[in-house]
Amino acid sequence: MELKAKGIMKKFPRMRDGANFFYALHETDFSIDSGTLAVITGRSGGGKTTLLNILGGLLQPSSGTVTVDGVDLYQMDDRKLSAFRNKYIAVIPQGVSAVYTLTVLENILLPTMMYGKRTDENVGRAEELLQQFGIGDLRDAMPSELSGGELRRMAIARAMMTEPAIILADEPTGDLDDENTAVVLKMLRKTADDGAAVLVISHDADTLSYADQIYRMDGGKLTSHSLPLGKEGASEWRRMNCMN
Amino acid sequence: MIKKRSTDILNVLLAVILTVGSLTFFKSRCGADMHCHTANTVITVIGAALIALTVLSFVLKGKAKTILSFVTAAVAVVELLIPGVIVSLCMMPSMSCRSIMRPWTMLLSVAIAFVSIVGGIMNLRKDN
Amino acid sequence: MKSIHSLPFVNLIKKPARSIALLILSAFLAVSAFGGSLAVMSLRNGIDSLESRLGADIIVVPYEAATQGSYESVILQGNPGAFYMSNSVLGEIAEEIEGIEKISAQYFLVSAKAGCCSVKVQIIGFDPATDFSVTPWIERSYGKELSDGDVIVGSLVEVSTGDDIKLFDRKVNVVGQLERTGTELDTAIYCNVNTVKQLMQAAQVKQLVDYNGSDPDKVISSVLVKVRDGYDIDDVTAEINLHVRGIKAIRAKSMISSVSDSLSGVSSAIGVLIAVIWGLSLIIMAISFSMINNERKKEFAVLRVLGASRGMLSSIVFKEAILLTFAGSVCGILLTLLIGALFSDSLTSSIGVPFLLPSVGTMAAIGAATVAATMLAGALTAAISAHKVSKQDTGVILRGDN
Repeated sequence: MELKAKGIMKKFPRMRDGANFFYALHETDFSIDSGTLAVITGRSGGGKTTLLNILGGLLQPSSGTVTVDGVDLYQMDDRKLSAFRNKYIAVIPQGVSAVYTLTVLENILLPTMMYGKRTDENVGRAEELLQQFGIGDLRDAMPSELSGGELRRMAIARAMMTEPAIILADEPTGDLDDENTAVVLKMLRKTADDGAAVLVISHDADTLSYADQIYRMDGGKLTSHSLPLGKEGASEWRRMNCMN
Repeated sequence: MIKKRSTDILNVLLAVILTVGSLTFFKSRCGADMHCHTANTVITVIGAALIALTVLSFVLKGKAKTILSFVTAAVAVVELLIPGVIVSLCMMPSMSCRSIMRPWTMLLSVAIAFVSIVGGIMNLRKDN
Repeated sequence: MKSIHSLPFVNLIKKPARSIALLILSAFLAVSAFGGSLAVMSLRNGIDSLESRLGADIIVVPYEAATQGSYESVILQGNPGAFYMSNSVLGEIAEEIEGIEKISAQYFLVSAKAGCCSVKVQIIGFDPATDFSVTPWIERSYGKELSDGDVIVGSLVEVSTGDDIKLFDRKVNVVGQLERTGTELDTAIYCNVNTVKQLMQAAQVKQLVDYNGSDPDKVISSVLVKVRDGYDIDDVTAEINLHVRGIKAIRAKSMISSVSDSLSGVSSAIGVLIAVIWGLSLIIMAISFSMINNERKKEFAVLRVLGASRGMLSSIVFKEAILLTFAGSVCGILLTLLIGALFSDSLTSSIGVPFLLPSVGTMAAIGAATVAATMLAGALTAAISAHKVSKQDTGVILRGDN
């Protein structure tokens, strides 16, 4: 699946003076293909989250189009777009994103229960993910009992529940120690290798070594990007740096 | 601690209100030779027993506490039936034993029984 | 949780403090609507019941009793009382006044002790041969004529059928209990003329009652008159007052209408009170829903991220409101019924006007209407915040959080 953004721009009217606008994102083109892990880095407030939300179908751009395999996200009505996002696009927001009235297991199962029912098969997959992310013994705990790092891992496990074609992760390794950072990044890398298109926004230098493509964003502009390393180049780079 | 002991505390308060009330604000004002005077006395005595049972719940734990909760509920049900069923009251509805003592006794007894059962169930689930 | 549709229910259970607060508010709405409606209907039923129980168009009492309001005191306020006039009044009215279809005497007596408690008990005697007021009522509950020495008690007198009680040291047998009227007639004991005359004599022997110097066999307390069709009740009342001395004829309806007028004022006041309570409560409810859902912006944003549509979010908010208001209104109705059942004796004796609860079917209908109205109120107040929730920009919320 290819996620493609053409000429997307986002501006917000300033509170005091309606004629003046704040440009969160200047006109930008961006695309990411299946099997690719791209990283966008840059200073805070540069527009990375705005770009991610637009690509994820969560924030209507002021202009431009976002397509997934040719399907224009913002031409769909809300019901269709929501169902499409549930099926194909997983967004891991920054910070805490738990539903506090549900257990950890129920939180992870939530994407599958939006348009369907809880099944034994889904529970099995959720428990597998819990084990992979090292939070298997917190299955029946409430989110209020979890640490920041555990909540982060829960959110990532939840994102992978439906095996989406596109994963958009905003600072997925925030609040994580080195060991868990490595677990998460390896999972994201594996998901990309299995065919998903994975976009990661991160300040973490460790992330860069898992990437096929690296971008930088400042002041709402995708100002620079490395030449695409390509899969083979990136694999070689990682091997040389003992990252496998 | 207050949250954990909320049913125990509430039950003690209700039992105290019931006992003190039977001697004060909902005391039957019939003469000493009347049935309702006997009913009032029995209500006070059982009320004192309920105070003892509800205070004991602070001390007990586990299965014993669960059993005590249900025993307290049963005693509260007996208290509920004292005025007008087990011990007869005055004939006329305007008499204080019927218009004041009986409804208050029933209301507080039902409340104690309810809180005891809820407490007993909560304790049982905690043990399991 | 089986699916997203269970989420409202889970949210309510897992946030008990928040849920209980809104539940109490809904219960308050239900208590005011249900309790208020029952009160108004019961007051109306009580008046209607009193009118049908009296049965008579005109009531004739001794002049002093009329001026002192003694008859109203007995019938409306339940203050046991007795007054007497010569039984010749009966004959005078029957022979001299035109337009009378039925006429019957009643006998009032007050017993100081009735076997258990130091309380005055109202005794009402009637003549089964001529009575048209008490007899139909006894027919419905007992189905037979009262024998000498038997009494039948009003619904609020707590004795068992078959019990013997002592009145003026004379034993009488309780043969039944009348159905409730919601009036002070429910606290009286009824017997036939022979029984009441025996009791009157026993009272005289004990020097407890004075019959104005007369023989108790020659006195009556009141005369009930039914006017023939085609005759004006006011005219007949005036004729009786003109031709018969020492008495006062009162139109039954005028006695009742003065109570009825004051009750319509009470009913209006109750209606206004209900409207004020509902108005204030709806405002509080709307503000509460709005504040709660504002706090849950991030939670809703997370659900959107996971694929919930705007319609789904609105549905969650609505369902929570409907569940809460349903549970709250049911609790409110049950609480009203519980308090009413426990304290009805105290309440009805303190208000001093006829008060008869409607039938179970009518109460159920009022209850159902109360639940529906409360749920509608909850849905309307939640609609404002549901609309806001559905319109919130997920991306802005998530961006703003960072």
